[in-house]
Amino acid sequence: MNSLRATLGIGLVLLPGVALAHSPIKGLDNFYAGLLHPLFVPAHLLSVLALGIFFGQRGPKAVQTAIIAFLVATLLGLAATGIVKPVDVELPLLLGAAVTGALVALDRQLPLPVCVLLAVALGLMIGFDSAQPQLSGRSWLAALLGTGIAVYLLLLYAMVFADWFGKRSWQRIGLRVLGSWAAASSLLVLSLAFAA
Amino acid sequence: MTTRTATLLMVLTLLVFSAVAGAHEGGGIAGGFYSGFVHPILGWDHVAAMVAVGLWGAFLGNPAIWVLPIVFPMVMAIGGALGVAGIPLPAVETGIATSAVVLGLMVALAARPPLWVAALIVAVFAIFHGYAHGAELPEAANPLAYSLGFVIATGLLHLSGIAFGLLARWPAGRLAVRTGGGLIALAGVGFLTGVV
Repeated sequence: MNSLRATLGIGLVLLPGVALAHSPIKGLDNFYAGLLHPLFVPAHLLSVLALGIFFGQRGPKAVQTAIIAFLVATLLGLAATGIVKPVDVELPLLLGAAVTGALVALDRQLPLPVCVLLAVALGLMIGFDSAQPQLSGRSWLAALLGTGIAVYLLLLYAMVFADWFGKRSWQRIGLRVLGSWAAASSLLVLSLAFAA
Repeated sequence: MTTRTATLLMVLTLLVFSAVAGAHEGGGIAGGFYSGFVHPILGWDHVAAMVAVGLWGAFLGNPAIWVLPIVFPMVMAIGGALGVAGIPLPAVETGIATSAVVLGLMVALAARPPLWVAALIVAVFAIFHGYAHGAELPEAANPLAYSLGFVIATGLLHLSGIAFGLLARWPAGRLAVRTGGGLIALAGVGFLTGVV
């Protein structure tokens, strides 16, 4: 009987209800929403990760300027959402993801200005595509700040991973395969858009 | 309380906490990714051919081991684009089944053509596989998530083939890999004739 009680007890412990956590500070919910934004927009996620791997392949030191340029461009793009009317930039962004994925798959060295140009283009588009038109004031600022931080962290994570992981030849192949996946997925969706 | 009553009570208590049954795969990003991911895995003809690509790549060694899995998704995207655009491609299912026969035979016969020939054979079949996936892209909940799903699943099937193909380093493993290729070719014949 004791073992039955214990079993029932364990069974109930294994079936906990959902814990609904919320932010204790007003306005911070928008920050979290902004933080999660790039994770829920596949085009943003794909572009940032592909760019991060591309930078990692080149080596962070070699592309320092491009890394900073990406941050500045993302912040400018985010700020522009408060001034300029939103425009759908998903297709150019996917084109950027396809190009970046193809560059990762090819694993070719490119001149720094080209890397900077790519970083600026992607940063501007991701920032500009992260508009929060339903928000205003501090809530808007909190959401955009969250998005900016998340996008930049994602880039840094992917870059550090690629730099750390791509030491051996088979590891570099793995990174190139990831690039080919990003390019293939982006090209397919681009073709869908053009077919429509 | 008898043990029987206690057991009944326990079962009833646990039933109260039963989880929600999801009757369909859901939509949005997760649903799109899931549909795309399972698409190649649930089609045995796709599975056989993808594993054969990995096996053959591993069998041929460097650089085929990485060229084939990178070439495949890139060319598959072109096939997918044809499917999305609705451009008719004759005998798609036959092409997919034939890919299992030809690629399986290449492994079984330990064929070692020049790299460009191997890449060309794989690329031609990639168009048929991509076409089949791409034809379902417009109906996907999230096209980018769907295409990412099936590209990643395809890559993982390649990887499983490569992992098995690495056994070819040893004489007994070589026999196992060639036998695997033979079985894939046989399965391909089954797909072609409609037996499987």
